[in-house]
Amino acid sequence: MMQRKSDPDLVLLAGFADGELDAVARDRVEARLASSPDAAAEVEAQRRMTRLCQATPPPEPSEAAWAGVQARILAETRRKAPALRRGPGGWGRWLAGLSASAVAAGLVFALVHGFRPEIPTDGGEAMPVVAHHEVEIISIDDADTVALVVGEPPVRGPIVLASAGEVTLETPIPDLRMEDAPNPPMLWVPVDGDSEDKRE
Amino acid sequence: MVVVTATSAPAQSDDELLARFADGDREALDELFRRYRALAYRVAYRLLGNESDALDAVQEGFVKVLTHLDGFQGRSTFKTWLLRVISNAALDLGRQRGRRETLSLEVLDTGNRELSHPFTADDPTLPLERADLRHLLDEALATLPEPQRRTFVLHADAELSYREVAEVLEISIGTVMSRLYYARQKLRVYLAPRIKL
Repeated sequence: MMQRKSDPDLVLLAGFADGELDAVARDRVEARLASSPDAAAEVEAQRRMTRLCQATPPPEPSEAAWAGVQARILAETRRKAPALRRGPGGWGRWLAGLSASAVAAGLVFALVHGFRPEIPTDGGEAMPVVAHHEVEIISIDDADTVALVVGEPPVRGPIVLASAGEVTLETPIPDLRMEDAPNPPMLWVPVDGDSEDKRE
Repeated sequence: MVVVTATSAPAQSDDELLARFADGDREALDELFRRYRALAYRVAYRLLGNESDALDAVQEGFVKVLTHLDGFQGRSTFKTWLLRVISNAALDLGRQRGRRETLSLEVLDTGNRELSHPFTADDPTLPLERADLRHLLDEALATLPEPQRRTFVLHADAELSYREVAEVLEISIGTVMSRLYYARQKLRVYLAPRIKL
């Protein structure tokens, strides 16, 4: 077996064995083979290893095993790729726009008189949400109160939110308060069954 | 008599199937999977040595490519991209699950056992010996440095050209050739005392 690593042409024998050399390199190797039985033996040995590998493929999995893998691929892909668009047949509806933290904080939508969004009647797709009376806020981080919105589902179309400075409370409502702090929540509304009666 | 020949619709390209899949067409996934599962499995199996781990690597690899289609910018073919991800997944899994230790235990019986009669690498007529031969080859592959093993498997098992192997591994064609030369030499050194080559 040829061991002279300092001979760069030795590596070319692998390329020659696999038919991967360009014309110039191929001619050089052929010239060498003509005068070196060792080189010819090495070429054949290189080919034999590849043939051995190709002659001993792994046993094929069963169709049931393949079906299981494919099903898991589909399930994992659906779970990990919300950016995939909804298709005509297969993928179902995707929820978009709800962050995990907002859901954990008990995000609901509030419709306050004065900025109830216009509900289109063209059959546009609604974003499913929970109703305010279905949610009990147990705790909420200060950082999440910026995004707290309470309302009535389903909400169709774009939502335009007012900032705290754009809303004037005309009728004081017990337990309803606004703050002047930077980026305050627009309104804090107690989420219980009486809240609607208290709103004007 | 009029003879009508039914012609099948031309197979869609990988890019077309990927576009359909991105639009939510599940049948596109079915076709992509059918097209490449065997190839992906052969590579993963040769790098891992058992069916269960190889199927896990195939699954993980397909999920990765299908959930990162944005990252596939057409700089390579889908096939080479997939095999890069599959081989990475297989090697990662092998490191996690201790492939070499497992392989050593599995082939303990065949390590130095002489085959019942002289077996040559080109003799396809002995299915029982073929399984032994595959185990010996897997043993030999396990002794290779990871870059050489991966290069050899991509070329010999996946039957990729040097250019395709270079694309998968992001190395030069010259490096592919060098790795293959030394990998096959080392395999021969390992196998020669055990089988008639």
